[in-house]
Amino acid sequence: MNMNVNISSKEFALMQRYIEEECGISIGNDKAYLIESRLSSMLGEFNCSSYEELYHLIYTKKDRRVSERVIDAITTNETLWFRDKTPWIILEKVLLPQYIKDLESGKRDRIRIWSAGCSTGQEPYSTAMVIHNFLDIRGLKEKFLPKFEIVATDISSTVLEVAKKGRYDSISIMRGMPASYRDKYFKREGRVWILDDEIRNMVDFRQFNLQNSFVLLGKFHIIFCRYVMIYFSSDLKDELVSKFSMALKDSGILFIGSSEMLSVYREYFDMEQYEGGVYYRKKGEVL
Amino acid sequence: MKIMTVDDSAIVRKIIRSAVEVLDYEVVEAKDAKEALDILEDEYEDIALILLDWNMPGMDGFEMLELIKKDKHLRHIPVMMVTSETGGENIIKAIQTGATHYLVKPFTIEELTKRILECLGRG
Amino acid sequence: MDMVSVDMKKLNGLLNRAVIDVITTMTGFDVEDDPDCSQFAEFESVETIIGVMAVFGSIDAVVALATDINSSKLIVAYMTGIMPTDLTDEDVHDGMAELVNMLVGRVKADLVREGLDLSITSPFSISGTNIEMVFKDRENRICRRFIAGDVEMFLSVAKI
Ligand SMILES: C[S@@+](CC[C@H](N)C(=O)[O-])C[C@H]1O[C@@H](n2cnc3c(N)ncnc32)[C@H](O)[C@@H]1O
Repeated sequence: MNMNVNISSKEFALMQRYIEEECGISIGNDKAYLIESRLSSMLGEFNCSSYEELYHLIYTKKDRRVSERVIDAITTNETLWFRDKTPWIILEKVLLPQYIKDLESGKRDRIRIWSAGCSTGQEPYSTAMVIHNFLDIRGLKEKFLPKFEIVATDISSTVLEVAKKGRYDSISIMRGMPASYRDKYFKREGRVWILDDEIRNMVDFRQFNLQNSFVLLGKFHIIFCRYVMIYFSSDLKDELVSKFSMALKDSGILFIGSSEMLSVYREYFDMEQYEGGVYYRKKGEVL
Repeated sequence: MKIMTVDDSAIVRKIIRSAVEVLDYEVVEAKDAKEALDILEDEYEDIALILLDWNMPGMDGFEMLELIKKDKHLRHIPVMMVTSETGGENIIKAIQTGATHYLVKPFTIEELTKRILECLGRG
Repeated sequence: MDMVSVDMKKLNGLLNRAVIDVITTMTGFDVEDDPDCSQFAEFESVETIIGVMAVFGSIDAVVALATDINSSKLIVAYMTGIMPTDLTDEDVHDGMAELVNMLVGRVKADLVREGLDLSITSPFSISGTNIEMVFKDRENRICRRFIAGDVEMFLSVAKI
Protein backbone atom coordinates (compact mmCIF):
# COMPACT_ATOMS: atom_id res chain seq x y z
CA MET A 1 0.00 0.00 0.00
CA ASN A 2 1.44 3.30 -1.06
CA MET A 3 0.81 5.69 1.82
CA ASN A 4 3.25 8.47 1.20
CA VAL A 5 0.94 10.57 -0.93
CA ASN A 6 -1.75 10.89 1.70
CA ILE A 7 -1.31 13.97 3.82
CA SER A 8 1.47 13.00 6.19
CA SER A 9 1.12 14.17 9.75
CA LYS A 10 3.93 16.66 9.23
CA GLU A 11 2.33 18.18 6.14
CA PHE A 12 -1.02 18.19 7.81
CA ALA A 13 0.32 19.98 10.88
CA LEU A 14 1.91 22.59 8.64
CA MET A 15 -1.30 23.12 6.71
CA GLN A 16 -3.32 23.16 9.91
CA ARG A 17 -1.19 25.99 11.21
CA TYR A 18 -1.45 27.95 7.98
CA ILE A 19 -5.22 27.55 7.93
CA GLU A 20 -5.54 28.64 11.52
CA GLU A 21 -3.19 31.62 11.27
CA GLU A 22 -4.03 32.95 7.84
CA CYS A 23 -7.60 31.78 7.39
CA GLY A 24 -8.78 31.81 11.01
CA ILE A 25 -10.15 28.31 10.67
CA SER A 26 -9.56 25.42 13.06
CA ILE A 27 -9.34 22.01 11.48
CA GLY A 28 -9.58 18.85 13.55
CA ASN A 29 -7.18 15.99 12.95
CA ASP A 30 -10.01 13.86 11.60
CA LYS A 31 -10.55 16.24 8.70
CA ALA A 32 -7.40 15.44 6.74
CA TYR A 33 -9.38 13.48 4.17
CA LEU A 34 -11.60 16.49 3.52
CA ILE A 35 -8.70 18.84 3.01
CA GLU A 36 -7.17 16.51 0.47
CA SER A 37 -10.13 16.57 -1.86
CA ARG A 38 -11.15 20.17 -1.27
CA LEU A 39 -7.70 21.44 -2.15
CA SER A 40 -7.51 19.21 -5.22
CA SER A 41 -8.15 21.94 -7.76
CA MET A 42 -5.45 24.13 -6.25
CA LEU A 43 -2.93 21.33 -6.76
CA GLY A 44 -3.57 21.45 -10.47
CA GLU A 45 -3.78 25.18 -10.70
CA PHE A 46 -0.49 25.80 -8.92
CA ASN A 47 1.08 22.89 -10.72
CA CYS A 48 2.04 20.96 -7.61
CA SER A 49 2.68 17.25 -7.63
CA SER A 50 2.24 16.78 -3.90
CA TYR A 51 0.42 18.37 -1.01
CA GLU A 52 3.75 19.21 0.54
CA GLU A 53 4.65 21.34 -2.46
CA LEU A 54 1.29 23.10 -2.34
CA TYR A 55 1.62 23.74 1.38
CA HIS A 56 5.06 25.24 1.03
CA LEU A 57 3.90 27.38 -1.84
CA ILE A 58 0.92 28.87 -0.08
CA TYR A 59 2.70 29.00 3.25
CA THR A 60 5.50 31.13 1.93
CA LYS A 61 3.20 33.28 -0.20
CA LYS A 62 1.22 34.77 2.69
CA ASP A 63 -1.06 36.35 0.14
CA ARG A 64 -4.63 37.32 1.07
CA ARG A 65 -5.93 36.17 -2.30
CA VAL A 66 -4.44 32.75 -1.77
CA SER A 67 -5.74 32.43 1.77
CA GLU A 68 -9.21 33.42 0.56
CA ARG A 69 -9.00 30.71 -2.07
CA VAL A 70 -8.11 28.23 0.68
CA ILE A 71 -11.03 29.36 2.85
CA ASP A 72 -13.38 29.08 -0.10
CA ALA A 73 -12.03 25.63 -0.89
CA ILE A 74 -12.26 24.12 2.57
CA THR A 75 -15.43 25.60 4.11
CA THR A 76 -18.77 23.97 3.50
CA ASN A 77 -21.60 25.95 1.98
CA GLU A 78 -24.35 23.77 3.31
CA THR A 79 -27.51 25.76 3.93
CA LEU A 80 -31.27 25.42 4.34
CA TRP A 81 -34.28 27.66 3.93
CA PHE A 82 -35.51 29.03 7.27
CA ARG A 83 -32.76 27.09 9.03
CA ASP A 84 -33.69 26.46 12.70
CA LYS A 85 -37.03 28.26 12.10
CA THR A 86 -36.78 30.37 15.30
CA PRO A 87 -34.90 33.38 13.87
CA TRP A 88 -37.75 33.96 11.43
CA ILE A 89 -40.39 33.52 14.10
CA ILE A 90 -38.54 36.11 16.19
CA LEU A 91 -38.26 38.39 13.16
CA GLU A 92 -41.97 38.12 12.45
CA LYS A 93 -43.34 38.20 15.98
CA VAL A 94 -40.87 40.37 17.88
CA LEU A 95 -38.76 42.52 15.60
CA LEU A 96 -40.94 43.46 12.64
CA PRO A 97 -43.88 44.77 14.73
CA GLN A 98 -41.44 47.03 16.58
CA TYR A 99 -39.66 48.17 13.41
CA ILE A 100 -42.97 49.03 11.72
CA LYS A 101 -44.03 51.05 14.74
CA ASP A 102 -40.69 52.87 14.70
CA LEU A 103 -40.88 53.50 10.97
CA GLU A 104 -44.41 54.84 11.36
CA SER A 105 -43.50 57.14 14.20
CA GLY A 106 -40.40 58.33 12.37
CA LYS A 107 -38.10 57.00 15.08
CA ARG A 108 -36.26 55.05 12.37
CA ASP A 109 -36.14 55.83 8.68
CA ARG A 110 -34.97 52.46 7.36
CA ILE A 111 -34.06 48.98 8.54
CA ARG A 112 -30.76 47.43 7.54
CA ILE A 113 -30.13 43.68 7.76
CA TRP A 114 -26.91 41.78 7.09
CA SER A 115 -26.61 38.10 6.27
CA ALA A 116 -22.91 37.42 6.88
CA GLY A 117 -21.84 34.14 5.27
CA CYS A 118 -24.98 33.77 3.17
CA SER A 119 -23.84 30.88 0.96
CA THR A 120 -26.27 30.29 -1.93
CA GLY A 121 -28.82 32.79 -0.62
CA GLN A 122 -31.28 30.74 1.41
CA GLU A 123 -30.75 32.83 4.56
CA PRO A 124 -31.18 36.35 3.09
CA TYR A 125 -34.02 35.22 0.82
CA SER A 126 -35.83 33.57 3.76
CA THR A 127 -35.51 36.90 5.53
CA ALA A 128 -36.74 38.80 2.50
CA MET A 129 -39.77 36.51 2.09
CA VAL A 130 -40.78 36.90 5.75
CA ILE A 131 -40.55 40.70 5.53
CA HIS A 132 -42.37 40.82 2.20
CA ASN A 133 -45.12 38.52 3.42
CA PHE A 134 -45.48 40.39 6.72
CA LEU A 135 -45.97 43.71 4.93
CA ASP A 136 -48.05 42.24 2.12
CA ILE A 137 -50.75 40.70 4.31
CA ARG A 138 -51.06 43.93 6.29
CA GLY A 139 -51.30 46.09 3.18
CA LEU A 140 -48.08 47.90 4.14
CA LYS A 141 -45.94 46.72 1.27
CA GLU A 142 -45.99 49.82 -0.89
CA LYS A 143 -45.26 52.05 2.03
CA PHE A 144 -42.57 50.13 3.85
CA LEU A 145 -40.92 47.55 1.59
CA PRO A 146 -38.43 50.12 0.22
CA LYS A 147 -37.41 50.90 3.79
CA PHE A 148 -35.83 47.47 4.22
CA GLU A 149 -32.31 46.86 2.97
CA ILE A 150 -30.77 43.39 3.06
CA VAL A 151 -27.05 43.02 2.45
CA ALA A 152 -25.78 39.46 1.99
CA THR A 153 -22.09 38.62 1.88
CA ASP A 154 -19.88 35.59 1.49
CA ILE A 155 -16.23 34.98 0.83
CA SER A 156 -17.04 32.69 -2.08
CA SER A 157 -17.86 34.50 -5.31
CA THR A 158 -19.09 31.19 -6.73
CA VAL A 159 -21.88 30.72 -4.18
CA LEU A 160 -22.80 34.38 -4.64
CA GLU A 161 -23.19 33.78 -8.35
CA VAL A 162 -25.73 31.05 -7.55
CA ALA A 163 -27.46 33.23 -4.98
CA LYS A 164 -27.87 36.20 -7.31
CA LYS A 165 -29.58 34.09 -9.95
CA GLY A 166 -32.38 33.11 -7.57
CA ARG A 167 -32.77 29.79 -9.38
CA TYR A 168 -32.87 26.67 -7.24
CA ASP A 169 -32.83 22.94 -7.93
CA SER A 170 -35.55 20.76 -6.49
CA ILE A 171 -33.17 19.24 -3.93
CA SER A 172 -32.43 22.64 -2.39
CA ILE A 173 -36.08 23.64 -2.52
CA MET A 174 -37.10 20.60 -0.48
CA ARG A 175 -34.79 21.58 2.37
CA GLY A 176 -36.69 23.67 4.86
CA MET A 177 -39.02 25.53 2.49
CA PRO A 178 -42.67 25.59 3.64
CA ALA A 179 -45.13 24.98 0.80
CA SER A 180 -46.87 28.30 1.51
CA TYR A 181 -43.75 30.36 0.81
CA ARG A 182 -42.73 28.17 -2.10
CA ASP A 183 -46.10 28.58 -3.77
CA LYS A 184 -46.23 32.30 -3.16
CA TYR A 185 -42.71 33.24 -4.19
CA PHE A 186 -41.44 30.65 -6.68
CA LYS A 187 -42.36 29.77 -10.21
CA ARG A 188 -41.57 26.29 -11.40
CA GLU A 189 -39.97 25.56 -14.76
CA GLY A 190 -39.47 21.82 -15.12
CA ARG A 191 -37.30 20.89 -12.16
CA VAL A 192 -35.98 24.40 -11.61
CA TRP A 193 -37.59 26.81 -9.15
CA ILE A 194 -37.34 30.50 -9.94
CA LEU A 195 -37.58 33.10 -7.20
CA ASP A 196 -39.87 36.08 -7.66
CA ASP A 197 -37.98 39.18 -8.82
CA GLU A 198 -39.53 41.29 -6.10
CA ILE A 199 -37.80 39.11 -3.47
CA ARG A 200 -34.59 38.83 -5.46
CA ASN A 201 -34.33 42.59 -5.74
CA MET A 202 -34.61 43.03 -1.99
CA VAL A 203 -31.16 41.50 -1.46
CA ASP A 204 -27.83 43.07 -2.33
CA PHE A 205 -25.10 40.40 -2.64
CA ARG A 206 -21.44 41.28 -2.17
CA GLN A 207 -18.21 39.37 -1.85
CA PHE A 208 -16.73 40.01 1.58
CA ASN A 209 -14.21 38.34 3.87
CA LEU A 210 -15.24 38.53 7.52
CA GLN A 211 -11.58 38.93 8.47
CA ASN A 212 -11.71 42.42 6.95
CA SER A 213 -12.92 45.62 8.59
CA PHE A 214 -16.70 46.12 8.69
CA VAL A 215 -16.54 49.89 8.68
CA LEU A 216 -17.50 50.39 5.05
CA LEU A 217 -20.60 48.25 5.42
CA GLY A 218 -22.30 50.76 7.70
CA LYS A 219 -24.49 49.91 10.69
CA PHE A 220 -27.23 47.32 10.87
CA HIS A 221 -30.35 46.59 12.89
CA ILE A 222 -29.98 42.84 12.48
CA ILE A 223 -26.99 40.66 11.68
CA PHE A 224 -27.32 36.98 10.82
CA CYS A 225 -24.04 35.10 11.12
CA ARG A 226 -25.11 31.52 11.33
CA TYR A 227 -23.09 28.34 10.96
CA VAL A 228 -20.13 30.40 9.81
CA MET A 229 -18.15 30.87 13.02
CA ILE A 230 -18.34 27.13 13.79
CA TYR A 231 -15.17 26.66 11.77
CA PHE A 232 -13.34 29.65 13.15
CA SER A 233 -10.48 29.68 15.63
CA SER A 234 -11.47 31.03 19.03
CA ASP A 235 -9.38 34.15 18.41
CA LEU A 236 -11.23 35.01 15.24
CA LYS A 237 -14.58 34.17 16.84
CA ASP A 238 -13.95 36.53 19.76
CA GLU A 239 -12.78 39.24 17.40
CA LEU A 240 -15.91 38.85 15.28
CA VAL A 241 -18.28 39.12 18.23
CA SER A 242 -16.83 42.48 19.08
CA LYS A 243 -16.81 43.59 15.43
CA PHE A 244 -20.46 42.55 15.06
CA SER A 245 -21.43 44.56 18.10
CA MET A 246 -19.74 47.62 16.62
CA ALA A 247 -21.52 47.08 13.30
CA LEU A 248 -24.90 47.01 15.05
CA LYS A 249 -27.07 49.99 15.87
CA ASP A 250 -28.09 50.43 19.50
CA SER A 251 -30.03 47.38 20.71
CA GLY A 252 -29.40 45.73 17.34
CA ILE A 253 -29.83 41.98 17.05
CA LEU A 254 -27.35 39.19 16.32
CA PHE A 255 -28.51 35.73 15.29
CA ILE A 256 -26.16 32.76 15.36
CA GLY A 257 -26.90 29.09 14.65
CA SER A 258 -29.01 27.32 17.26
CA SER A 259 -26.29 24.79 17.99
CA GLU A 260 -23.59 27.46 18.26
CA MET A 261 -22.34 29.07 21.46
CA LEU A 262 -20.58 32.33 22.08
CA SER A 263 -18.02 32.22 24.85
CA VAL A 264 -17.47 35.92 25.37
CA TYR A 265 -20.53 37.93 24.50
CA ARG A 266 -21.62 39.41 27.85
CA GLU A 267 -19.49 42.47 27.39
CA TYR A 268 -21.39 43.34 24.22
CA PHE A 269 -24.70 41.50 24.18
CA ASP A 270 -27.62 40.38 26.31
CA MET A 271 -29.00 36.98 25.47
CA GLU A 272 -32.76 36.95 24.94
CA GLN A 273 -35.17 34.14 24.21
CA TYR A 274 -38.45 33.80 22.42
CA GLU A 275 -40.36 30.58 21.83
CA GLY A 276 -37.28 28.46 22.37
CA GLY A 277 -35.11 30.55 20.05
CA VAL A 278 -32.10 32.51 21.25
CA TYR A 279 -30.89 35.88 19.99
CA TYR A 280 -28.39 38.46 21.16
CA ARG A 281 -29.28 42.09 21.71
CA LYS A 282 -26.55 44.69 21.68
CA LYS A 283 -26.13 46.29 25.08
CA GLY A 284 -27.05 49.95 25.36
CA GLU A 285 -24.35 52.56 25.70
CA VAL A 286 -23.07 52.72 29.23
CA LEU A 287 -22.39 56.30 30.17
CA MET B 1 -23.73 23.45 -24.07
CA LYS B 2 -23.97 20.16 -22.23
CA ILE B 3 -22.51 18.59 -19.13
CA MET B 4 -21.94 14.84 -19.06
CA THR B 5 -22.26 12.64 -16.00
CA VAL B 6 -20.71 9.18 -16.11
CA ASP B 7 -21.80 7.10 -13.13
CA ASP B 8 -23.24 3.63 -12.73
CA SER B 9 -25.64 4.89 -10.08
CA ALA B 10 -28.85 6.30 -11.55
CA ILE B 11 -29.42 8.21 -8.31
CA VAL B 12 -26.11 10.02 -8.54
CA ARG B 13 -26.88 10.89 -12.16
CA LYS B 14 -30.23 12.32 -11.06
CA ILE B 15 -28.63 14.44 -8.33
CA ILE B 16 -26.12 15.78 -10.80
CA ARG B 17 -28.92 16.44 -13.29
CA SER B 18 -30.65 18.58 -10.67
CA ALA B 19 -27.59 20.73 -10.08
CA VAL B 20 -26.75 21.07 -13.76
CA GLU B 21 -30.22 22.06 -14.97
CA VAL B 22 -30.28 25.04 -12.62
CA LEU B 23 -27.13 26.31 -14.27
CA ASP B 24 -28.88 26.19 -17.64
CA TYR B 25 -26.85 23.39 -19.12
CA GLU B 26 -28.25 20.30 -20.75
CA VAL B 27 -27.36 16.97 -19.15
CA VAL B 28 -26.01 13.93 -20.94
CA GLU B 29 -26.02 10.74 -18.88
CA ALA B 30 -23.86 7.67 -19.33
CA LYS B 31 -23.91 4.65 -17.03
CA ASP B 32 -20.43 3.47 -17.88
CA ALA B 33 -17.26 4.51 -19.68
CA LYS B 34 -18.14 2.70 -22.89
CA GLU B 35 -21.46 4.47 -23.25
CA ALA B 36 -19.76 7.76 -22.40
CA LEU B 37 -17.04 7.34 -25.01
CA ASP B 38 -19.64 6.46 -27.66
CA ILE B 39 -21.55 9.64 -26.91
CA LEU B 40 -18.38 11.72 -26.82
CA GLU B 41 -17.42 10.52 -30.27
CA ASP B 42 -20.43 12.32 -31.75
CA GLU B 43 -21.01 15.11 -29.29
CA TYR B 44 -17.60 16.12 -27.97
CA GLU B 45 -17.92 19.62 -29.35
CA ASP B 46 -20.98 20.31 -27.20
CA ILE B 47 -19.62 18.97 -23.92
CA ALA B 48 -18.46 21.68 -21.51
CA LEU B 49 -17.59 19.39 -18.60
CA ILE B 50 -17.48 15.69 -17.70
CA LEU B 51 -18.31 14.49 -14.17
CA LEU B 52 -16.71 11.10 -13.79
CA ASP B 53 -17.09 8.35 -11.20
CA TRP B 54 -14.06 6.22 -10.38
CA ASN B 55 -15.57 2.86 -9.52
CA MET B 56 -17.66 1.61 -12.39
CA PRO B 57 -18.16 -1.81 -13.89
CA GLY B 58 -16.01 -2.29 -17.00
CA MET B 59 -13.49 0.43 -17.67
CA ASP B 60 -13.03 2.47 -14.49
CA GLY B 61 -13.16 6.25 -14.27
CA PHE B 62 -9.43 6.65 -14.00
CA GLU B 63 -8.79 4.71 -17.19
CA MET B 64 -11.41 6.80 -18.92
CA LEU B 65 -9.75 9.98 -17.65
CA GLU B 66 -6.46 8.79 -19.15
CA LEU B 67 -8.15 8.14 -22.50
CA ILE B 68 -9.79 11.55 -22.51
CA LYS B 69 -6.60 13.37 -21.71
CA LYS B 70 -4.73 11.50 -24.47
CA ASP B 71 -7.32 12.22 -27.14
CA LYS B 72 -6.72 15.37 -29.12
CA HIS B 73 -10.46 16.10 -29.51
CA LEU B 74 -11.35 15.44 -25.90
CA ARG B 75 -8.45 16.56 -23.82
CA HIS B 76 -9.51 20.20 -23.55
CA ILE B 77 -12.78 19.17 -21.84
CA PRO B 78 -12.50 19.72 -18.09
CA VAL B 79 -13.11 16.59 -16.03
CA MET B 80 -14.23 16.52 -12.42
CA MET B 81 -13.91 13.22 -10.61
CA VAL B 82 -17.06 12.67 -8.50
CA THR B 83 -16.40 9.58 -6.50
CA SER B 84 -16.47 7.85 -3.14
CA GLU B 85 -12.90 6.74 -3.81
CA THR B 86 -10.95 8.97 -1.41
CA GLY B 87 -7.31 9.11 -0.43
CA GLY B 88 -4.57 11.53 -1.41
CA GLU B 89 -2.97 8.93 -3.63
CA ASN B 90 -5.97 8.76 -5.95
CA ILE B 91 -6.46 12.51 -5.88
CA ILE B 92 -2.88 13.24 -6.89
CA LYS B 93 -3.06 10.59 -9.60
CA ALA B 94 -6.25 12.10 -11.03
CA ILE B 95 -5.03 15.70 -10.91
CA GLN B 96 -1.70 14.80 -12.48
CA THR B 97 -3.52 12.97 -15.24
CA GLY B 98 -5.46 16.16 -15.96
CA ALA B 99 -8.60 16.19 -13.82
CA THR B 100 -9.63 19.72 -12.81
CA HIS B 101 -11.33 18.84 -9.55
CA TYR B 102 -11.88 15.89 -7.28
CA LEU B 103 -15.21 15.81 -5.42
CA VAL B 104 -15.68 13.12 -2.81
CA LYS B 105 -19.09 11.53 -2.21
CA PRO B 106 -21.01 12.26 -0.07
CA PHE B 107 -21.30 15.91 -1.09
CA THR B 108 -23.94 18.53 -0.39
CA ILE B 109 -25.88 19.94 -3.31
CA GLU B 110 -24.29 23.35 -2.60
CA GLU B 111 -20.81 21.91 -2.87
CA LEU B 112 -21.64 20.05 -6.08
CA THR B 113 -23.00 23.21 -7.69
CA LYS B 114 -20.05 25.28 -6.55
CA ARG B 115 -17.47 22.82 -7.87
CA ILE B 116 -19.24 22.56 -11.23
CA LEU B 117 -19.13 26.34 -11.61
CA GLU B 118 -15.47 26.37 -10.65
CA CYS B 119 -14.64 23.79 -13.30
CA LEU B 120 -16.58 25.67 -15.95
CA GLY B 121 -14.83 28.90 -15.08
CA ARG B 122 -11.46 27.45 -15.79
CA GLY B 123 -12.57 25.15 -18.62
CA MET C 1 -4.64 -11.00 7.49
CA ASP C 2 -5.41 -10.60 11.16
CA MET C 3 -7.46 -8.00 12.94
CA VAL C 4 -4.82 -6.48 15.17
CA SER C 5 -5.25 -2.89 14.18
CA VAL C 6 -9.02 -2.68 14.01
CA ASP C 7 -11.32 -4.10 16.58
CA MET C 8 -15.07 -4.13 16.32
CA LYS C 9 -15.37 -1.25 18.74
CA LYS C 10 -13.28 1.03 16.62
CA LEU C 11 -15.05 -0.07 13.46
CA ASN C 12 -18.30 0.65 15.22
CA GLY C 13 -17.20 4.22 15.95
CA LEU C 14 -16.06 4.85 12.40
CA LEU C 15 -19.26 3.44 10.95
CA ASN C 16 -21.36 5.51 13.25
CA ARG C 17 -19.69 8.70 12.18
CA ALA C 18 -19.88 7.65 8.54
CA VAL C 19 -23.62 6.94 8.66
CA ILE C 20 -24.39 10.28 10.29
CA ASP C 21 -22.08 12.08 7.89
CA VAL C 22 -23.45 10.44 4.75
CA ILE C 23 -27.15 10.74 5.61
CA THR C 24 -26.85 14.33 6.86
CA THR C 25 -24.85 15.44 3.86
CA MET C 26 -27.02 13.75 1.27
CA THR C 27 -30.46 14.54 2.74
CA GLY C 28 -30.03 17.56 5.02
CA PHE C 29 -31.60 15.53 7.87
CA ASP C 30 -30.44 15.80 11.45
CA VAL C 31 -29.44 12.24 12.29
CA GLU C 32 -29.12 10.80 15.77
CA ASP C 33 -27.83 7.39 16.69
CA ASP C 34 -28.88 4.88 19.26
CA PRO C 35 -26.90 1.75 20.11
CA ASP C 36 -30.11 -0.11 20.95
CA CYS C 37 -31.17 -2.28 18.09
CA SER C 38 -33.90 -4.25 19.82
CA GLN C 39 -36.62 -2.74 17.64
CA PHE C 40 -35.04 -4.35 14.65
CA ALA C 41 -37.20 -7.43 15.27
CA GLU C 42 -40.49 -5.51 15.13
CA PHE C 43 -39.37 -3.73 12.10
CA GLU C 44 -38.82 -6.95 10.21
CA SER C 45 -42.54 -7.45 9.78
CA VAL C 46 -43.01 -4.43 7.49
CA GLU C 47 -41.71 -4.08 3.97
CA THR C 48 -38.00 -3.55 4.32
CA ILE C 49 -35.29 -2.45 1.96
CA ILE C 50 -31.65 -3.23 2.63
CA GLY C 51 -28.61 -1.82 0.89
CA VAL C 52 -25.72 -4.26 1.10
CA MET C 53 -22.01 -4.27 0.39
CA ALA C 54 -19.14 -6.57 1.28
CA VAL C 55 -15.61 -5.65 2.31
CA PHE C 56 -12.60 -7.93 1.91
CA GLY C 57 -8.98 -7.79 2.96
CA SER C 58 -7.80 -6.87 6.44
CA ILE C 59 -11.44 -7.29 7.46
CA ASP C 60 -14.00 -9.50 5.78
CA ALA C 61 -17.45 -8.18 6.54
CA VAL C 62 -20.90 -7.49 5.21
CA VAL C 63 -22.34 -4.02 5.74
CA ALA C 64 -26.12 -3.63 5.52
CA LEU C 65 -28.26 -0.52 5.85
CA ALA C 66 -31.91 -1.42 6.41
CA THR C 67 -35.01 0.71 6.57
CA ASP C 68 -38.74 0.42 5.99
CA ILE C 69 -39.98 1.29 2.56
CA ASN C 70 -41.56 4.60 3.57
CA SER C 71 -38.41 5.85 5.26
CA SER C 72 -36.35 4.85 2.27
CA LYS C 73 -38.65 6.82 -0.03
CA LEU C 74 -38.26 9.90 2.14
CA ILE C 75 -34.49 9.53 2.22
CA VAL C 76 -34.21 9.12 -1.54
CA ALA C 77 -36.67 11.98 -2.12
CA TYR C 78 -34.49 14.37 -0.12
CA MET C 79 -31.38 13.08 -1.87
CA THR C 80 -32.74 13.66 -5.35
CA GLY C 81 -35.42 16.34 -5.04
CA ILE C 82 -37.97 13.93 -6.51
CA MET C 83 -41.30 13.72 -4.65
CA PRO C 84 -41.76 10.36 -2.84
CA THR C 85 -44.83 9.65 -4.96
CA ASP C 86 -42.84 10.12 -8.16
CA LEU C 87 -39.99 7.82 -7.20
CA THR C 88 -39.75 4.49 -8.97
CA ASP C 89 -38.83 1.26 -7.16
CA GLU C 90 -35.58 1.36 -9.06
CA ASP C 91 -34.79 4.84 -7.70
CA VAL C 92 -35.32 3.65 -4.15
CA HIS C 93 -33.20 0.53 -4.60
CA ASP C 94 -30.47 2.47 -6.30
CA GLY C 95 -30.56 5.17 -3.63
CA MET C 96 -30.15 2.70 -0.78
CA ALA C 97 -27.31 0.95 -2.60
CA GLU C 98 -25.60 4.27 -3.24
CA LEU C 99 -25.86 5.29 0.42
CA VAL C 100 -24.13 2.07 1.47
CA ASN C 101 -21.53 2.69 -1.19
CA MET C 102 -20.77 6.16 0.17
CA LEU C 103 -20.78 4.85 3.71
CA VAL C 104 -18.31 2.10 3.03
CA GLY C 105 -16.22 4.46 0.91
CA ARG C 106 -15.88 6.81 3.89
CA VAL C 107 -14.93 4.05 6.31
CA LYS C 108 -12.57 2.48 3.82
CA ALA C 109 -10.72 5.78 3.48
CA ASP C 110 -10.31 5.99 7.27
CA LEU C 111 -9.05 2.42 7.49
CA VAL C 112 -6.73 2.57 4.51
CA ARG C 113 -5.19 5.67 6.03
CA GLU C 114 -4.31 3.52 9.02
CA GLY C 115 -2.55 1.03 6.82
CA LEU C 116 -5.24 -1.58 6.26
CA ASP C 117 -5.77 -3.16 2.92
CA LEU C 118 -9.38 -3.30 1.81
CA SER C 119 -11.31 -3.96 -1.32
CA ILE C 120 -15.03 -3.57 -1.74
CA THR C 121 -17.75 -5.15 -3.85
CA SER C 122 -20.40 -3.30 -5.80
CA PRO C 123 -23.36 -2.33 -3.63
CA PHE C 124 -26.78 -3.85 -4.19
CA SER C 125 -30.11 -3.81 -2.43
CA ILE C 126 -32.83 -6.29 -1.54
CA SER C 127 -36.38 -5.73 -0.42
CA GLY C 128 -39.28 -7.73 0.95
CA THR C 129 -41.22 -8.44 4.11
CA ASN C 130 -40.05 -10.57 6.99
CA ILE C 131 -36.47 -10.51 5.90
CA GLU C 132 -34.29 -11.99 8.55
CA MET C 133 -30.56 -11.57 8.65
CA VAL C 134 -28.97 -14.55 10.35
CA PHE C 135 -25.28 -14.53 11.08
CA LYS C 136 -23.40 -17.39 12.67
CA ASP C 137 -20.88 -15.27 14.47
CA ARG C 138 -23.04 -13.33 16.92
CA GLU C 139 -20.04 -11.93 18.79
CA ASN C 140 -18.71 -10.01 15.86
CA ARG C 141 -21.81 -8.25 14.81
CA ILE C 142 -22.55 -4.56 15.10
CA CYS C 143 -26.02 -3.16 15.01
CA ARG C 144 -27.04 0.45 15.44
CA ARG C 145 -30.22 2.38 15.02
CA PHE C 146 -30.36 5.83 13.47
CA ILE C 147 -33.27 8.21 13.56
CA ALA C 148 -34.04 11.44 11.74
CA GLY C 149 -37.57 12.68 12.37
CA ASP C 150 -39.88 9.97 11.10
CA VAL C 151 -37.10 8.15 9.38
CA GLU C 152 -35.57 5.12 11.04
CA MET C 153 -32.59 3.12 9.81
CA PHE C 154 -30.58 0.17 11.05
CA LEU C 155 -26.97 -0.45 10.27
CA SER C 156 -25.75 -3.95 10.62
CA VAL C 157 -22.20 -5.14 10.14
CA ALA C 158 -21.17 -8.76 10.43
CA LYS C 159 -17.77 -10.32 10.11
CA ILE C 160 -17.76 -13.18 7.65
C1 LIG D 1 -22.26 26.56 6.32
S1 LIG D 1 -22.50 28.02 5.39
C2 LIG D 1 -23.84 28.77 6.28
C3 LIG D 1 -24.81 29.49 5.38
C4 LIG D 1 -25.97 30.18 6.08
N1 LIG D 1 -25.52 31.25 6.94
C5 LIG D 1 -26.81 29.20 6.88
O1 LIG D 1 -26.80 29.26 8.10
O2 LIG D 1 -27.46 28.36 6.28
C6 LIG D 1 -21.09 28.99 5.82
C7 LIG D 1 -20.71 30.07 4.80
O3 LIG D 1 -19.74 30.95 5.38
C8 LIG D 1 -18.83 31.37 4.39
N2 LIG D 1 -17.55 31.79 5.00
C9 LIG D 1 -16.63 31.03 5.61
N3 LIG D 1 -15.59 31.76 6.02
C10 LIG D 1 -15.84 33.05 5.66
C11 LIG D 1 -15.13 34.28 5.79
N4 LIG D 1 -13.92 34.35 6.39
N5 LIG D 1 -15.70 35.40 5.31
C12 LIG D 1 -16.91 35.34 4.71
N6 LIG D 1 -17.63 34.21 4.55
C13 LIG D 1 -17.10 33.07 5.01
C14 LIG D 1 -18.68 30.13 3.50
O4 LIG D 1 -18.25 30.48 2.20
C15 LIG D 1 -20.10 29.53 3.53
O5 LIG D 1 -20.84 29.90 2.41
